[in-house]
Amino acid sequence: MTAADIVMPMFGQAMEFGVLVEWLTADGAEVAAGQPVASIESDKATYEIEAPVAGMIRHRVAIGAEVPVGDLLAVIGGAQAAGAVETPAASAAPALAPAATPAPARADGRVLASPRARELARAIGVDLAGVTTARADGVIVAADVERHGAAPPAPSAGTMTPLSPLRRATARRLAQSWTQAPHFTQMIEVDASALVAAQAAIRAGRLACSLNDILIRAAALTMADFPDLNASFEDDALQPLPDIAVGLAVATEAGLAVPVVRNAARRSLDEIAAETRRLIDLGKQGRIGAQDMGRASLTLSNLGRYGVAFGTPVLNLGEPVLVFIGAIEEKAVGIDHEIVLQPRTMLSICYDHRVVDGLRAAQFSQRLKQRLEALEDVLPGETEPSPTEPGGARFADGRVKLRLGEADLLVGAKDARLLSIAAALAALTAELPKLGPSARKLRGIEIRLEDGLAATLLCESEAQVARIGRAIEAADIATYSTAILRAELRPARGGGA
Amino acid sequence: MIQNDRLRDIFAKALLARSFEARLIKLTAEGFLPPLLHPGAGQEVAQIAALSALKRDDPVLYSHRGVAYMIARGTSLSAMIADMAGRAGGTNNGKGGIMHVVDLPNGIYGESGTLGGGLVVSVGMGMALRRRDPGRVVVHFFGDGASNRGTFHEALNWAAVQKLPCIYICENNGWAVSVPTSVSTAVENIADRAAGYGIPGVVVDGADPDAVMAAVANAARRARAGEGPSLIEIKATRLLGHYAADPQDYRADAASVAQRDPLAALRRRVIELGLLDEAEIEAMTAAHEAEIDLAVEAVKAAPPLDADQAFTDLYA
Amino acid sequence: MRTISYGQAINEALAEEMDRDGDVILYGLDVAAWGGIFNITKGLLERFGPERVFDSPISESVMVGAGVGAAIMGLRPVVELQYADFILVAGDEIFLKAGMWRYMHGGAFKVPLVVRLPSGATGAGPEHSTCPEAYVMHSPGLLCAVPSTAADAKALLKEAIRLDNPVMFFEHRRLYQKRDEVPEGDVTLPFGKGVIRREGRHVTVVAWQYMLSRALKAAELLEQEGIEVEIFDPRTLSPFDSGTLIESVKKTGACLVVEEGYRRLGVGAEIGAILMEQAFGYLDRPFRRLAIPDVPMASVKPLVDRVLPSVEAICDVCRELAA
Repeated sequence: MTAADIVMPMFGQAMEFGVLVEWLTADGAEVAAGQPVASIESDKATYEIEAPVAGMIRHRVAIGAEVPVGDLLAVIGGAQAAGAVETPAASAAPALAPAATPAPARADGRVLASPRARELARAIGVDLAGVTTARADGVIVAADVERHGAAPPAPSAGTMTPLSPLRRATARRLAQSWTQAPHFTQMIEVDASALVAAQAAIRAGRLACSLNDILIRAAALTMADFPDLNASFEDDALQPLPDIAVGLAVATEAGLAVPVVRNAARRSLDEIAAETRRLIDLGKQGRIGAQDMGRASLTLSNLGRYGVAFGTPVLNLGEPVLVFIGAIEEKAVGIDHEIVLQPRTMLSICYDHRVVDGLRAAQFSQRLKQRLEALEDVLPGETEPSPTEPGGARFADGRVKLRLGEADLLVGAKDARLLSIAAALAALTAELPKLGPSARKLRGIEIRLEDGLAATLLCESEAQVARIGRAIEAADIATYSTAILRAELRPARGGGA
Repeated sequence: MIQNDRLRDIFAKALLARSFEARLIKLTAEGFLPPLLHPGAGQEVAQIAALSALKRDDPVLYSHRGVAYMIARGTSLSAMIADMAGRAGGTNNGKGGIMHVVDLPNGIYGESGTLGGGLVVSVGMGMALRRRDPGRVVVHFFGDGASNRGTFHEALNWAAVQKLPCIYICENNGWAVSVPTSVSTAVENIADRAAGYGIPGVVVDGADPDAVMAAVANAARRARAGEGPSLIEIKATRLLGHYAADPQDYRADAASVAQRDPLAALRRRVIELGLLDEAEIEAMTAAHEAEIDLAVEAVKAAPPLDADQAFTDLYA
Repeated sequence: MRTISYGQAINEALAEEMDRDGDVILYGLDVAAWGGIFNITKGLLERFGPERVFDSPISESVMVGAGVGAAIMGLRPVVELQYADFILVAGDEIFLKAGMWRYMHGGAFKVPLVVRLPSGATGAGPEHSTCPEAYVMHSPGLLCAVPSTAADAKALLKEAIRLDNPVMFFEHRRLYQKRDEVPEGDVTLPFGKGVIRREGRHVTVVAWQYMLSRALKAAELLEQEGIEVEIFDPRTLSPFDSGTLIESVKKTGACLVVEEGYRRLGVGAEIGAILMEQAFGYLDRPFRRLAIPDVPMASVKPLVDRVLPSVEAICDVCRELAA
């Protein structure tokens, strides 16, 4: 039987120790190679460690222990496995309660709680003043009261609140970065019109990514323009970073994790989107692994949705740049002696002064601003043109030219009735290409105008009827027109219809 | 020419209406009734003459000025006082007061609170009568003021298109509250507007019951024969203010208008015709007063309406 | 079971009720020879004749006012107003006549009137695109139906025609072509009884008509995130089935109303007030609304889409409420 040690791995270059959060197998259990055996928390995320070989596992540390990188966690098989673990009874495992913050103390001393939480607290005799909540609005909800009721009494006012291992480590590393790296922040305002348009395209389904993906790509491309900035200051020297990785703050069960998108400058927007989706999914499952962690060239912090305008961020330890994106807000700006309203956002870009001077940083800031304003090389080259609004052509000369399948169709629209039907047909034809290549084979469809605002599309086969029917449904024709379109099978020729 | 007994009947009812309204005004001054009556003094003769040309079950939508329509159809006096006083025994359980007296057995189908609001309702009533009860007609009274509502146009047009059994009677007393028709209305005669709907429009003198009855009888004949609606304009006289205590300081003829009272003219006429003499009219007046006394006593003895009536009669 | 469209279901309801009761008449602009601008009344003129199915002038006041007059005289008129916005054109007749004629005359009359009101944002401009249910819900004496499926449209319309009270019957134009299963035969639904369209533990979403379809889509997406949305379709807004809603909120502790009407003093505002008054102790999250922000409904699609509550917005609020 092969024996193997399991030691605290190093997730990310700056990691010094990890906390054993949970044993995923019992002490003395038989494990298979590749089976997750322990859950480890670093300052950035929670990881799972897998058994390198099969065999009986013997735990060597207790839950909650801070274990330096490289130190022994457990052994599998072999002679070492014989010794039983001494679980230090005294080192009480910190409860893995979700990071709970006390409800914010209000000046008037009132506790904010939902009506249901109040009823519940009354019913089970809980004093709401001692209940904490993790909710952003600070309002205690019933679940907080239930959790409190099940937990040991909260520390009374005046006693210290111990931090979770994750938060303890985070605090230590932030302090380290703050004291070691001389920070400076440049704020630069950006015309966010292009970003807002991109957002609209995302909402409309024309762009399959998130706003963050666009930001990641823009930041990575800009970093690629400034290779001298992509370095970490270590031991009085600049250590070039291996590639352009962009850190992305992701919400997880245990708090904020910052996985990185590697090689971000070389990935297309689609690829970045796929990668962030993967990372976010992993984050939700609490399964972000070591390969997805580590030092980034820059980290993005986007708190715009909370209305924050700008910030003075703290760099992640060992990283040269952090870009903080503020809320996009409509502002009055002067353009060519006219006051116009424009969506704008503030970038607060924090630099490590040991890596970059102010001038070079300003060039970086400006380049990023320009890139976000144009989005030229950020969005896919062959961006789908937004489908022409069917409403556009219909008022031109009273006639509407439509392309239905491979046939051009000219609809006279001199009166409101035909106009409405033409608009409905235009909506339909705009929708047809989305239904895939098969829908393009639509030769031979006839249009029969009915009484009222109705038209029937006479098709040659049942399959065609079904396809057109789906397109009619998808086209949401009512948005453009009050007309009603129907697909029907064409009556047999010579039938007199 | 109206038969004598018909004319005497019109006079008697107009006399009762005048006395009854005077009593309501007196009870208002005494504080027993709220000041919500719009007096119809001066218009009773024409109102009663018009209704005497119709059958009792021809539905009436009346106008807000006065109570002679109900007197013409025989609605209980005490019920009307109770409606106004908020006592039990009224016709609308405190919901409509004196403005919305309803008496279906006598064909009194109520009134729109918004002036001219009933014009459009009458169209549907005509539609229903033609379908369910051919031969009946609906008559709608309204003032010159209401004739300036858009509903007038919509109603008369569609009634005319459908040739509905509707009779539209505009009582033009020259005043919309304080606004004279010279200020509010472009045409001399409201009836001239009938041409715009392709229906007959006639003007009659409100002091001439013969003319009113003849016009309404003719309109009713047309309506019952399926020839459609008619517009009749009664040149009417408003003796009193818009409401009982209206000082009428906007009105130059306030003092002299009493000389044009159609009821006084009719009184002279029935005496001239020998239908009644002064003594008989005195006796008739005394009998009316006694009838009114009884009605007032009955209402005063009745309990106030249960305030929870506010919650009834909304949904069927 | 057969599937037919919402529009066909309304046509069937009209035909069946006219067949059943000779007092039912149908009129409005374009409803007779043309079969209605939305093709809903097609074939009814041929079947029931011009005395029962006829066109009206563009005279909304007399269309509704005559409906009241015909109703108090014993007919059961069904009036089509083409665009629900026009309840404001016929405001006197709807709110003061239909709603109050019976009341102000001490209950002497019944007003079995149905006004059919095609509604919804379809890019037809500010005066032809709204969902003005809130005005009706606000006003005493009127009943208000908001069917969301073909089956409901048919059953509620048949019930509306049989009721002795005036019904404002909102037909959402974006639903006219939606098909679903509709039982054959004489099926009605009572007013004031809503339905849970989807069960869930975390958030109660109240939605009807077009917004119901968006709420259902949002619920499907949220299910993948582990958020279980319960969806309540009230079917009628007057009367409003607060009982079923409160039972749902007792379970979830959170409520979002998604409506296509204006936000300020809208249906959602009333539902929020009902919950405050009758279910306060069960609320575990702030009551939320998604509605048309208080601007008129514009004509062009981008502006319409900008103000219509989106699936994404519904998801966002549900996530906040479930957090």
